[in-house]
Amino acid sequence: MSISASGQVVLAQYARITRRRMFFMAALVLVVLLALLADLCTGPSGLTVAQIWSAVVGDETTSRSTAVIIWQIRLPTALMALLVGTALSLAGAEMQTILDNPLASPFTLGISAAAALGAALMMVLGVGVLPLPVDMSVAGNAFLFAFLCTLLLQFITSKVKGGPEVLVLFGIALVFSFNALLALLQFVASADALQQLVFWSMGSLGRATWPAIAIVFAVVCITLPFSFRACWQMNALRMGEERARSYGIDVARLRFYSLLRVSLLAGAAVAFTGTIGFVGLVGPHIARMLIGEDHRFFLPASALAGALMMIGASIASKAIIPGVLLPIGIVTSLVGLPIFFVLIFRRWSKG
Amino acid sequence: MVNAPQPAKASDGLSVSNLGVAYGKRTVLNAMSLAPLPRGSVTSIVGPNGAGKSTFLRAIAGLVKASGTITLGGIDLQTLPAQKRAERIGFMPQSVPARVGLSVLEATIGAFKAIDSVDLTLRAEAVAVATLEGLGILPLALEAFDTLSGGQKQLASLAQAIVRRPDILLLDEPTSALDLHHQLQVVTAVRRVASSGTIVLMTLHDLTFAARWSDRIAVLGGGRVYRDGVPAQVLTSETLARVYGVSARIEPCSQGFLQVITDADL
Repeated sequence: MSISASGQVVLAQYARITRRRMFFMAALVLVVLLALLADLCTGPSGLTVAQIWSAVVGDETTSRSTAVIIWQIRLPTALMALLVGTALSLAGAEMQTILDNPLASPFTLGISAAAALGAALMMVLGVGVLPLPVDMSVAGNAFLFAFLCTLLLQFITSKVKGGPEVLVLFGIALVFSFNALLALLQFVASADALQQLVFWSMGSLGRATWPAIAIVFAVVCITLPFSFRACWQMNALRMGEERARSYGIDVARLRFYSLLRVSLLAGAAVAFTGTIGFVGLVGPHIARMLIGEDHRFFLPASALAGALMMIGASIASKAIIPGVLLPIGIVTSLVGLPIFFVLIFRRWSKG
Repeated sequence: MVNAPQPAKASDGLSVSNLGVAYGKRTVLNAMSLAPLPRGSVTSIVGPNGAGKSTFLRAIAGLVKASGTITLGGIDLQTLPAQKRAERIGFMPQSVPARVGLSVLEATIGAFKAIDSVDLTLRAEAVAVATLEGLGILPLALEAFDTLSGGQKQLASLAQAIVRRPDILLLDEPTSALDLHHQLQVVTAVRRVASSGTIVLMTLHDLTFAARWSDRIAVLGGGRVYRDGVPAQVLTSETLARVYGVSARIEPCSQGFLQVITDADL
């Protein structure tokens, strides 16, 4: 392939843009790591950075209480924030592309409403669908319901013509159905169960245990490579479904596997932290505004933006009212919204 | 008729016979056949709205299920797996989505890499750049797709359809909604693609334009091919009256190109 001089110039420019994006991604990774460190350093017990560091690296001189605070509370919370932000935002990014709808997220299509219903079933009626120990059965139920919701969506898409619009409409119908059933459970719930349920719905990183972290980590690690492998197909889908099919892409199959990944990611995240709505919708939008829609960069940037938002929310939930840990779901929205508004205004402001 | 196509063996070209498409119980295309189209030829598909022109292109592309046989160089495309078929066919839809979010170059590279996502060598970028240069839109390479004008979008869209150098290029109304300059830009680009041996089929509404730039014209009406042949044979007052229900005269201009002049009354 011989390329003219001006063609070479364009290729060089393109290579420069690609390098700049790589550099930007690396910077974003660094920011996420710094935020993680800041999260570790935030909390009511007034530990110094040096103390925290020696606890993390397992220094002999660390006091037992400091080690417990770091290893049982702060590190799990921070890592869970990182993983859940990654999972929800990646799920949202994939959904927005394959459904060609900027409003799509695990929450718009009923996946988290289903998870909440599953959790409520255990809390209110004590019905654990999966044979799990009691302390895991709320998470188990939530995951299973999220997963079943996605399968239901899949089933519907295979039965009707019309593509993404129908899927989105059906998802919205599912949200209302699950919410109605949830309200029914709340109505019959005891005062204790109701309180538990309300707190679960607000989202919390406080339930982060090491096994839970391991599970979410495993899900992210398993789905991520498959997401990236589909990045060119998703780029093609940006040009329209018919066009993607004319390239030889099996769009129905792409959509099926993408939704499968979404259900794993969202299911795992929601199961262990409850309803955290904002990240899956906004994380991808922030990534899109920062780096564009080439999925080679858009997918990882979405994951990182989501992680950063969650860690930021985790810090804020501890810092807004000293001594009080606010529910993460509320803080995520409160912290994320201003950032989102600024980005929207910067992008769409007149002149 | 710009470049007379190379005389080719019929088996080398594209043959369509007995093509049928039905949506549910509604038959859209019924036993459509075309005389073999040689390599390097440009054929326009014309006919009234709803005659099934777009469906015809989609059926050849394999985007809608169709009965009948479509052979290219003796190979029945209908029996090929979707990917193998897609490698031979470039398809350009009538319009691009309002919001794409990619640059022209990214979209073109994407069209090249859409199936084989493992191939991360430099080759795709080079091929894409060469394709854009061939269409004269290299300066737009790094522009965002969404900021292009209508004419530029069509050319960028054409780049995606030809970046894999397909044997067959299918264009759905490539010049509709374009100004005269861009119509010419698109159609000359298409003729250039054809001259390298690609078989081009495009749907058009402008009959004078079709007569000027196509080697062959197929007139669709009533779910079948009503007439098929060189423009002078196909475009007659009788055909237009039958297919469009319009009274018109077809006259050559001073340079010999056919012109369709409609009468005042239907």
